[in-house]
Amino acid sequence: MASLSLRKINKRFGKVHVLHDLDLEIQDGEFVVFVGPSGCGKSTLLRLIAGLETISDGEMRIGDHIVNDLSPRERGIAMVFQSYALYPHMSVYKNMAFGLKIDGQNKQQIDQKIRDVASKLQLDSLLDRKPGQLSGGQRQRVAIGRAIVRDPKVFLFDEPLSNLDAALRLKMRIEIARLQKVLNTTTIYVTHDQVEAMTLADKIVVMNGGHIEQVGAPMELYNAPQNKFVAGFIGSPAMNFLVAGVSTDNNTNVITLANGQTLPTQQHLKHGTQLTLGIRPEHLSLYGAETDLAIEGQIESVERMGDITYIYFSMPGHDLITMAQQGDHQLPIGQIIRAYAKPEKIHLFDESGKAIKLS
Amino acid sequence: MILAKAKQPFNVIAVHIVLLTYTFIALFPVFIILVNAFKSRKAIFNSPLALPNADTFSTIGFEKVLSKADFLLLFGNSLLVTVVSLFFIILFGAMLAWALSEYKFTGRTLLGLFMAIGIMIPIRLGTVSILEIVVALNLVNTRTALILVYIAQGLPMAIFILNEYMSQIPKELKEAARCDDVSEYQIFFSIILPLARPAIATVAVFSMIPIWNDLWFPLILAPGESTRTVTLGIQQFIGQFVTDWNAVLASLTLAVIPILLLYVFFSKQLIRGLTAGAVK
Repeated sequence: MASLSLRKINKRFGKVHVLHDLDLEIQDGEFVVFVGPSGCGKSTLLRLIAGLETISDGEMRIGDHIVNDLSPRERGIAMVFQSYALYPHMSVYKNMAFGLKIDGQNKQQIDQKIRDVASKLQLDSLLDRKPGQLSGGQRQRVAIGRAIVRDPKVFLFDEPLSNLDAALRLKMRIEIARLQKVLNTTTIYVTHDQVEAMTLADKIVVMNGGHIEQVGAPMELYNAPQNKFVAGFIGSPAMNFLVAGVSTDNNTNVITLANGQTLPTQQHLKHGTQLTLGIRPEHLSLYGAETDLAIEGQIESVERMGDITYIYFSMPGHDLITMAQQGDHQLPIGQIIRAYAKPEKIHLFDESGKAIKLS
Repeated sequence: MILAKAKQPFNVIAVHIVLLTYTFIALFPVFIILVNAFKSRKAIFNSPLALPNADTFSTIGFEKVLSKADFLLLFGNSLLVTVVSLFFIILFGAMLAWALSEYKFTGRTLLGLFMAIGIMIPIRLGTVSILEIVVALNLVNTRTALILVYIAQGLPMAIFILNEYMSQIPKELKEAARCDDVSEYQIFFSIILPLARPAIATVAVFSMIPIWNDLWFPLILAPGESTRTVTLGIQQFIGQFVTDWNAVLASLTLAVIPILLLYVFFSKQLIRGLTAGAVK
C-alpha cells in the first residue's frame, strides 16, 4: 500500500505531446478512476504509472520514492489489462505462479498464496485449465487474481470490463469494488464508461485532450462540475446545453435564453456575453412552478423503460433535449411539450466553458 | 439455395481431383524408387513400373548398402548436420525475428531488408567466396563448415516467417510479463518461444528438407570419407560406366526414413501453423 504523487508529468511521443503538465495526488488505499473519451491520454497516463512508458518530463513518486526510472516490478505495481493478457500456454495456476517464481519465492509459499487468492475469486476449480478453456468473466477473474498474488502497492486496471457483456460487467464491477474494500490497496482504474467511474471511485479524474479537467469525488463532479466538458461527460444521459446570452433589464444583468426567458443572476456579467446553460435530463420536469425555467419543444422520440421515461424533444438551434421522468409516461410524438427546471439545478458556463456560479 | 447445394459437391470433387493429381505427380518418383528398390536389377530395367512379384523381388540393394561400413556414418553425418543446423536456425532466427519485431533500434529496417535479400538471392551464388572463407578458417572437410553454411542459408526464411508471426503476438502479453518483472530473455524463452511453436515447426520443415537433400555443399566443402552425407555417399554407387541401381534406390529409400520421422514430429505443429489465424 502506498500513496502516489504526480508532479508536472509530461509525455511526448516524438513531436506529439500527449500529456501536459499533469499534477495528481492519490492517497493510500484510495480507489481512483481515470475517465475520459478515447484518445484523452488516460491509458497513456496509466502506462506511465505502470512503468511501461517512460516519463518525458516531471516527477512521479510512489510512497516516498521517486520511481521515474524504476521497472514495473520495482515500483510494486500490478496491472490488469483490457485483453486480460493471460499467458495462453500456461494453466491458470501457472499464470498466477509465473511472476512469483521469477521473484524466487519458494514453492510452498507460492502454492499457499495462489490457493488463498483462488478461493477469494472462486477460481479453485479452474486452476488446471488453460485460459482458452475459460469464459470471459473467468479470464477476467484470473487476470485480477494474477495481480492480487503479487501483493502490489498499487493496482492498475486498464478498462478491465470493456470486453465483457453487460450483465457480467455489472457483476464484475461489484466484485472489483468489494475486493478493493477488502484488500484496501491503492487502485487506479481507467475506463471510458462514466457509470463505472461513478460507482467505483473514491475519486474521479476526468481527462480530456491530455489535460486533467477536474479531480473530485463522484458527487462533487456531478453537482459542481468545473467546466462544460466535465458537466457533459459525467451523468447519464448527458447534460443538455442551451444557448444563452446576457442582457440588461432595469440596470441589472439577466441571463436571456433563445426563447426570450430570463433568469436573474448576481454575478457581474458583461452585456452581450455568450453563455451556455446546462440542465441535467433528470432535473427537467413536466410540472413546475412559476419561478422555474421553462422550455418548450416538439417531442421527437420517447423511450419507456417502465421505471423511467426518456423524452427527447427538439428546440430550434439546439441538439435534441433529453428529459428523464420517473415512472411511465405515454406521450405522443410530435406533441409540443413544456419542461421545467428549478433555478438552483441550472449550471452556467462562460464562453471558454468554465463554470459560473448563478447566485 | 438449390444452386448453392448443387454447386457444393461439384466444388468438393473438383478440388479433390486437383489435389489428387498433384499428389500423384509429387509421389510418383518416390513410388518408383520404393518399388524398384525391392526388385532385382534385371526387373528394374525390364519393367520399371511393375510392382515386385515373387520372381523379381530382391533385397540385394539393401544388403549391399547395409553391408557397407560407412552406411551408419553417412546417416549420422546427415542427421547431425541437419539437426544441429536446424537448432541454430530456429534459435538465432527466433531471436533476431523477436528483436526485429519488438525492439526499436537504429538500422532495424535496414537489417530486416538485408535479411529479406537473403531469401531472394540463392546462397549458392556465393559458393566461391564461401569456399575461400572455409579454406581460410581451416574448416574444409568438417561438418562444422556445412552447419555454418546451412545456418546462413536457413536464417533469412526463418526470420521472415517468425517475424511475421511474432509481430502478431499481443503486446499486452509482453507488458504483463514486464509487470511480473520477467527479464527480456525470460520473456523470449518462456512466453514468446512457446507461443511461436507453430511458426517454429513451419520453419523447421521448410529448412530441414533442403539441408537433408543438399548435394552441392557436401560435395564442395566436405567430400572427405568421414564427413560425407547421405546424398553424397549415394554417389559412390553411381559410376561413370556402371551404376548400381539396386544400391542407389535402396539407399534413397532409406534416406527418406529419417526425414519422414522428423516431418511427423513437426507436422502436428505445422498444420496448426499453416492454419493459424484462419479460424479465430
